[in-house]
This record gives sequence, structure tokens and C-alpha cells, in this order.
Amino acid sequence: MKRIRILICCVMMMAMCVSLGACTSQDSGGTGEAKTTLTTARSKDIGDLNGHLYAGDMAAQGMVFDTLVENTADGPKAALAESWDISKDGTVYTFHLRKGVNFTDGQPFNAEAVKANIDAVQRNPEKHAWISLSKKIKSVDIVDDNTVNIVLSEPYYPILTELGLLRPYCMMSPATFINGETKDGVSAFVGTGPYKLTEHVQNQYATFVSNDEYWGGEPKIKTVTFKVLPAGQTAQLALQNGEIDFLYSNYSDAMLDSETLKSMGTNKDYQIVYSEPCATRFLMVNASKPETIIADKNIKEAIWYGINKEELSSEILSGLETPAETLFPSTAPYCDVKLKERTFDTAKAKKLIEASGWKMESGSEYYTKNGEKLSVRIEYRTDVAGVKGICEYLQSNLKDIGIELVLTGEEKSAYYDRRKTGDYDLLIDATWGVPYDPQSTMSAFSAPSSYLTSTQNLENSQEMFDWIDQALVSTDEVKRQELYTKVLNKIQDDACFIPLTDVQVIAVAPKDLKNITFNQSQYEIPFEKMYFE
Amino acid sequence: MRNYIIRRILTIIPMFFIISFISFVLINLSPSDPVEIILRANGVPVVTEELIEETKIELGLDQPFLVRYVNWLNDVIHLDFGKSYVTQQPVFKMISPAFGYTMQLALANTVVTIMLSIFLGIICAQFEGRMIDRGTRSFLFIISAMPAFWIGTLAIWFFSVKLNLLPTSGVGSWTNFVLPTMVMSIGYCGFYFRMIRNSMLENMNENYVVYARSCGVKEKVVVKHIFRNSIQTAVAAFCMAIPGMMAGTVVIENVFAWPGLGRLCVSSIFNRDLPIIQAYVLILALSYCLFNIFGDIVTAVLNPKLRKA
Amino acid sequence: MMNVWSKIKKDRIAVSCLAIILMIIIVGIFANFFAPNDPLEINATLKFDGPSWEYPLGNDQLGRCMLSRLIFGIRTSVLFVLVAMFATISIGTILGIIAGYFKGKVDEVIMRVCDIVLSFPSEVMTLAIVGMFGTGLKNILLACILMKWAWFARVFRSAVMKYTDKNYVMFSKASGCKTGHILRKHILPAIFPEIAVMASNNISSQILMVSGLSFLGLGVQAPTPEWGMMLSEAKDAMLIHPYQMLPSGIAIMVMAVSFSFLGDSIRDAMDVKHEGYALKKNRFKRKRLAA
Repeated sequence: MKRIRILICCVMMMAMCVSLGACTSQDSGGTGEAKTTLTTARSKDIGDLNGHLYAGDMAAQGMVFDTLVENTADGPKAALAESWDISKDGTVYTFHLRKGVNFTDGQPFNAEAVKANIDAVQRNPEKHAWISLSKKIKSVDIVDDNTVNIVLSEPYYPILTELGLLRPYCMMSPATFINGETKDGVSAFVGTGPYKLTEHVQNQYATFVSNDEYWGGEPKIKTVTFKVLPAGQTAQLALQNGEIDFLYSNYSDAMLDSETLKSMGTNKDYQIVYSEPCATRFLMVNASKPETIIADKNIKEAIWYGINKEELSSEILSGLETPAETLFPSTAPYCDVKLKERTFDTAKAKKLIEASGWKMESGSEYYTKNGEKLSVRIEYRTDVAGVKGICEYLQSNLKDIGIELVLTGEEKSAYYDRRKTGDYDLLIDATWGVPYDPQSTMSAFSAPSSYLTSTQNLENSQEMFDWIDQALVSTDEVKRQELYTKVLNKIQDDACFIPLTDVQVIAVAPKDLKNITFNQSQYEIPFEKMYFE
Repeated sequence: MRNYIIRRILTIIPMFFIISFISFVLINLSPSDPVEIILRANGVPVVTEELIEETKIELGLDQPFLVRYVNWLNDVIHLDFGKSYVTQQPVFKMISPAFGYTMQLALANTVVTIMLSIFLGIICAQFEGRMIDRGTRSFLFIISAMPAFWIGTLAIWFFSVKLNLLPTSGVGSWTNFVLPTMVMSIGYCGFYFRMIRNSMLENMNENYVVYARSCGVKEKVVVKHIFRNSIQTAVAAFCMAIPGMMAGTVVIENVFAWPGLGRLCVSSIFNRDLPIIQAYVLILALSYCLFNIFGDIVTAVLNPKLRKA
Repeated sequence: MMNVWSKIKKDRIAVSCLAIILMIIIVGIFANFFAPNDPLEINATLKFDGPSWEYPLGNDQLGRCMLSRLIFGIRTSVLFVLVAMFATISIGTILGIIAGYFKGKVDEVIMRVCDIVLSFPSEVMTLAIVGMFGTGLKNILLACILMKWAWFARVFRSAVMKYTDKNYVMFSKASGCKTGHILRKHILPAIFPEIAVMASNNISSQILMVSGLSFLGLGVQAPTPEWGMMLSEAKDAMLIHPYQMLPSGIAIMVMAVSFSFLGDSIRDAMDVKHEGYALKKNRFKRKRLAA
């Protein structure tokens, strides 16, 4: 029959196309002149860049807006504020502002602008309840044109770090406020940052042009374009095709999978730049329901012992993430503390499970107790690339120690609903990273809808929350360290967060893009420092 | 004729109410709490009970169901589909450019599909039963059975990355249309071309053809007549092609990063951005309905026999 | 009906399609027996390995056996769709027969509901239902059933109407046969070929749609093997391991092609006018004209 012959022909043609494609070599275009434009890709639109709210893309907000101080590895440094003095009792901070700085709409940056910004943030307290500073600011007083006092209700040591967080205390041009407010939106996104937003076509691209009067020096890359591309293969192809020339991945917006990154590392046309480990992937363990299997500390510990983090890191994640033993990396402030280690040990894990009365029936794969199977659920976010594979790997790990792990992938909002209501056994999450670690993350321990479902009902939970509160207002460095050490030990011993790996920001670009660096926060990328050769 | 058209157009009104009601009911059946989604989407790290209550009143979600429906319908008629939970922008502002892009792609697809299927339909009907007919049919048959996302991905990989001829994704110049249109229209072509071919073949047996041929009318003219008569059945199908393609672009848009409705809808599903999904359903169902009526009217104009029925 | 079957038996393509479909269904049902390995077993060290004796189609991104995943994937990608299709057909047939046989008010109500359902494009409603009730294979299949039954009901209604006027049905009625008996013995067998054609064509589009939605991440939960999701996992590593794209893609294609070929062949066998006969007649005419 002819139809059969045609069928065979078609299949052969397809096979040829595929093999031809596999064989043709990669060609790369090298242009002579130094480029001054850069195109990058994000999987989501930059959104509403209003820096006093939380909807926008932080990398884009970081390009447009500046903060009073900048968080660096060596602590807070001067940014829009050149220097600051602290009153003796630690409640008044006097900021001396950088002179001659203008917003990109021509408005001057001065004490009045600072007051307008901070007051606007303070007038929307519900949204900023997570950041303790918002509860401590009593008033913002203008001293003179370039000096401003921030008065606190009580001493609060992380003030500089939290003022250095892009959101919510970044400085936007007061001329863009609507009736002096920012909580219902602003008329334009104007800051003092190295770039200004010139064009934004929703769900397609956003173009940023350099601010030539930038106080930190004129950026060498004159135009930065954010294109919206689906993460994964589309972005990879666009990079290989030269349509984009910079890609970066962090935990919440992983643009590239580990395997592709690894192969690009061996390609001589590309470079891969890694940041310091800046956040930790971990499993949140539900403690809000004492009657569940997972509330048993032995089971928590068994899971911890049962996860082969070495193999997870080297094979599944292609060595791009390093195994983590603690919730916060030892490089985070106050976190260089020796804590109990639980290295991969299946025998120990099984012993712990058996200690809780679980038995392995002959011929069955999982432990049982009174006819109930040792089964634990894990929920992951489908919009975060890579976590699905990690969960699948954990499933096979835990199967080896006789625990059944049931996977559910969910949308962001359903996932957060679970986190808040405690309707879960395990959640795979990541810390916000420095500069939020440890103080902001720890204050979220006691916040319902953040980490409370993992930290409540432990022995002395309330005491731990008190330690955290005390540490935040303590003025004594030694005392503070002591309190933090107690908290760190507590969460480590109780295994309410099971650390997996340390995550980095990873950037891929053609070889000729130079000076790719990272900010301390995993969410911002300093485009202004890059240049093409 | 005029009565028929008016009657047909008037059916839009009850259809609109039914469609809008179903779209509205669906969103209210959804198990997730809109307030929580809104707050979460705005990145508020800690959601408190007071904040939820406040937002609920602000959005008017504390009112009874029917009141909300009437309010919503009133807004919809004024092209106000509410605000996106995630971006806080008006849904209309987000949907309208996406609608434009999807429309462009659907139109390009329709044009290519129609031209391709007419061309192939005529050729295959002429050489019916021969190698070219069987070959084309089998080829299109197999192509239309391949998952579009698979061909799409392979096509990007081959044409954009390996040969570096076309852009991988997104919109911009006409070159961006080539791959998605090619992948999509070739799939749809399988269906339409068979329709044209079959109705051409049916017409070939009609008496007027036999008569014309026996009178010695040139073959070219005969084919023209056959074509004109057989295209009628296809016209209604072609009218449905545009909305059908608008709905069918979802996967292709996601593969080619086309900023259209399908992509917006899928990302809204992931974000639980219900107002956008609602508007998407409403708009597509309405345009489906409109094109359906349009198709009926065109058929009626072309074929007076059907008007009485 | 016997006539249709004997014609299909002669059509080699139809027979081989049927054989492929049956084979795949059997392999899917007895996946435990046919699969060489555990489809969920992860061997991180074998990530992206090529075919070997132990893993005939190689390993995926987590080092799982591709062949075993493909075989277990039959259940989610084909069998569940078949079950959903069966439900759709049952609903459609029952309502279609009721409407067509009893006519009157019942008919009116059922047909108006059909009109409403049909005024929504099914792809859009599937997305809407998945969007409102959350992702997952269950919701997709539910949406398929909800949106497709009306098509069947409408087609079967007109088919039934065609046959209720046939003499033998009238005769049975007049001779006092019970309604149930008439429906079972006369109407259902008469419309069966039509059911087969519609089902067979619909299944192939349904398989494509379900795998497409899974490809977009709206379908099954990991690590359940499913062809669309396997493709979507493979595409992330497409540049380095293009081979990964082939097994699941070809599987979907073979399934869809087989079902549509089968549907086509049944139609050809049923409908003499359409292709075979008409063509011969036409060729004969043309020859005559030429002579």
C-alpha cells in the first residue's frame, strides 16, 4: 500500500532532520566593536515597579531605585546617605545625604524627599508588617536640606540593613506620588538609580536607558532590555541564538537548568559566573498538627539523616549547589556557630524511625505502625524551576529508609495557603538570603503565614520567639550573639527546617561581557558595573 | 434574507447572558480565596486577618452573589473586567494587547491555512488516487497527529538554533510569524484540505459537470465551477477557523513565547489570577459565538437554498 | 455493521492500526509485567545515559528508565483518556438517544443545553476549568467530558432520528416491542459505526490535548509518568541531549495517528459515497468522457 510507503518516508525524513540538527556545529557571531546594549530575559513581566510595594521585579527595581545605605559583605555602606551618626541611646539615626543628586525627572534628592518616601511607606503599615523596622520608626525629621533624623521608638540594631533593603525603603521621586501617597500606585517609576525605565510593553519587554548623571558614575552599558521569555529551553535557545546576551538564575526565577549550565560551561564562547552562596533551600516541616506523623521529632531527624545531599548536589544539581547543613550559611551575620550535624546515614535514620515504634513488615517497602503506612506529603511550587526534580530525588531517598513521600506540585498561591494554614507535611522552600538572614527571616518565624506553622508547638516555642525579639532590640553585641546562638541551636536541634543545599545566583553571558558581579541580595543584579570588551 | 440575518444577530443577546453567567459562576466555584491571592501576589510577606477583611470590603466581595453578578456584568458591558489580582492593573489593559497578538497569529494562520488547503485540495482532487494525492494526504495526516509543541520545539531547535535563520521566539518582525504559523497551519490544514478535496470530488459527479464536460467546456472552466460550488461548504468552516485558532494557540504561544491570550491565560492559571481567566473565557466564548453567527450568515448569502431552513 | 467490519478487515492500514492500539492498551494495562524497571526508581549516576541492555531506551534527567516510564505513561496518556472518552460517549449516547427517540420537550431541553455547551470552545473551557479548580489530570479529563458530550449527543440524536423512521423500527414498535428492546436491538447497533468514527477521531485529538496541557505543566503530578510531561522535561535538556525528545514524542504521534487512521478507515468502510466508490465512479465517467 502506498500509504505505508509514504509513512515510512515521513518517519525517515524526520529522523534525518533530527540527526542533521544534532550534527551541525554551533556557529557564533563575534562582532568587532564593543557593544553598549545588553538584553536579558526574565520569565515574568517586570510588573509594577513601585518600590514601596512588592509586586515588581526586584532586579528592575534595583536598576531604577537606590536606598539610603547599601548592604555589602562588609556591612552597610554609604549610598544615598554619605554617612550617619547614631545617638547614644540608639534611637536617633542622623543621615547626611549625598549632595547634588537628582531624580531622573529632575527633582532634587534631599531631606524632604527622604521624609516623603519613608512617611509614605509608614502610612501603609499592614503591607510592611513583616519588616520590624516599620514598627519601630516613630518619626522622620528634617534637620536641614541634606540632613535627616530617623527617630525610633526603641533601639533596633538591624535598621541600617533594613534601610538597605530595596523594598520597601527605596527612594522614589516625590513628584510621582499620587496625593503624597504611594500605596495606591505612582504616576511613573522615577528614582536616582543607574538606569531609567523608558519603555515597557507588558509581557514583552522593558527598556532601561542609562542615567548619565548617576552619582555612582555613568554606566558603560547604555541600554538594558528585559525580555519576557519562558524559562528553560526558550531562554537557552535565545541565548545561543544571540537574541539575548545575559541570563541569570536565582531561586525564585530559575531561567536555566543545571544540565544546560554545565554544558555551557564547557563552551568556549560563554562564561558562567557564580555568586557566593546567598540562600538556602530547605524543607519546612509542619509542627502545627501534633497528631500527624511528621510532628514526631524522630521522623524529622530520620528524614534529615536519610537525604543524600552529596549526591543531590553533585548529580541532580550538577554541582551547582553545595550541600547545606544549617538553615543559615555560616557567612551570614551572627551565624558562624557550631551546630549539630546530621550527615547522610540511612542506618541511623532507620533506627530513629524504629525508636518511634514503626515496624518494617517483611516484603513491604515502607514502615508501618498499627496498619498505617509511614507516608509523608511534600508540596512544591510548579513555578520554581528545578524543585520538581529535587522532590523526585528526595522521594527515592526516603524510599530507601522506608518512608513514602507523596509529591504535589501547586501554584504559588495554593502553596502559600498551605504554608499559612498548616495543611502540609513538608514544603520545599528557600530562605530569603542575606541581607534578610538572619534577622528578617527569624522575625518571620513567629509570623503566621510565614514560618509559624513550622516553629509552633515545639518545646519552648514562645521562649524562642522572645529570644528573637530581644536580639532585635538588644544593643549589646555579646548578648545578641548569645541569643542568636540559642535560637540557631534550637531550630537545628528540633529539626523544624531541614536544610538541603546552598543556592547561588548564576549568570551566563558571552565571553566578552566583563565585570559581572553580584549584589549581596540574590534578587538584584548590578548591570551598571558590566561592560563589553 | 434580512429577517434571517436580524434573527441570527439577535440570538447574540441571550448567548451573551448565558456566557457571562457561566464565566461568572465558574470564578465563584473556585476553591481559592481571591483576597489571599491578591495579597500574596503583591508580595506581602505576612498576611494578617485584618488585612484580609479590609481588602474584602475594598473589593466588594462581602456582597451577595447576584448583586456581585449584576455589578460585574455592568462593568463588563463598560469594558471593565476588573483588576488583575497579580499586577493590580485593569484586566482590559492587559488583555487587549494580548488579544491583538493572538488575533494577528490567528489571522496569519487562517490565511495560510485557507490558501494552503485550497491549493492542496484542488491539486489532490484533480490527481485523486494518484501518488501526489495519497502522499499529501498521508503527510498531512501524520503531521496533524503530531503534538504541536513537539514539532514547534524541534522546529525552533532546527531553524533557529542550528540553521540560525529565524528568531526563536517572541514578536517583532514578520520573521517571528514564520515558525508558529508554519507549525500551526500545517496541523489545521490536514482538516480543511480534506474537506475541500472531498466536496470537490462530490461535485465532480454532479450533473452540471458532466453536462459541461460533454458540451466541450474547457477543463479549466469546469474546475473553476466545481471549485466555486465546493467552496461553499468550506466557508462556514473557515469562519470558525479564526476563533478556533484563537483558542488553539495556547500551546503554540507558550512554545514560541508569543505574548498572546493563551500565554496570559496559562500564566494566570499558575498565578490563580481569576479575573484574567474569566475575561479570557468570556472574550473567546463571545468571539466564538460571533464568528459562528457570521459563518451562518455568509453561508446563507452564498447559498439561498439554506435560507429557508 | 458486519459489512463495515468485513471491509475494515480487508484494509491493511486499519487492521495494523487496530493491532497497534490493542497492543499498546494491553501493554499499558499490564505495565507492571512489561516494564523492565521501576519507572520511579532514580539512579542519579545514570542521568541522560543512552540506551543499554538494562535500559533499552536510556535514562532521563533523573536517571530513570525511559522505556518503563513510557510504558507506565500509557496509563495516564492513553488509558485515562479512553476512560474519559467512554464516559463522554455514554453520556452523549444516552442523551442523544433520549432526545432523538422521544422527541418533544425532552428533546428541546437537551438540545438547548447542548447549544449552550457547544457555544463555548472546548479548549477554552478546559483551560477555564483547570484555572478555576486547579491543575491536574482529573480536572482536565473532567473538563473533556463536560465539554464533549454535547457533540456526541447532537450527532447521535440526528442518527437516531434517521433510524426511528425506518420500516423495521416502525414495525417493531407496531408489533408492541418494548422501547428498551428497540433501542438496544435496533437503534444502538445502527448508530454504532457512527459512534466508532467519532470516538476514534476524538480520542486522537484528546490525546494530543491532554499531552499538550501536561506539557504546559497543567496535567499530572510528578513523578507520575505521562508522555506530555516527559516531553516537557526532555525539552529543557534539548540542546545537549536531543535524543530525549524522541521516545515520548513518537509515542504520542503513533497513538494519535493510529486512532485517526482507524477512524478514517471506519468512515471509509461505512460511507461508500465519500471516497472509494465515488472515486471509481468518477474515474469511470472521466474515461468515458475522454473516449
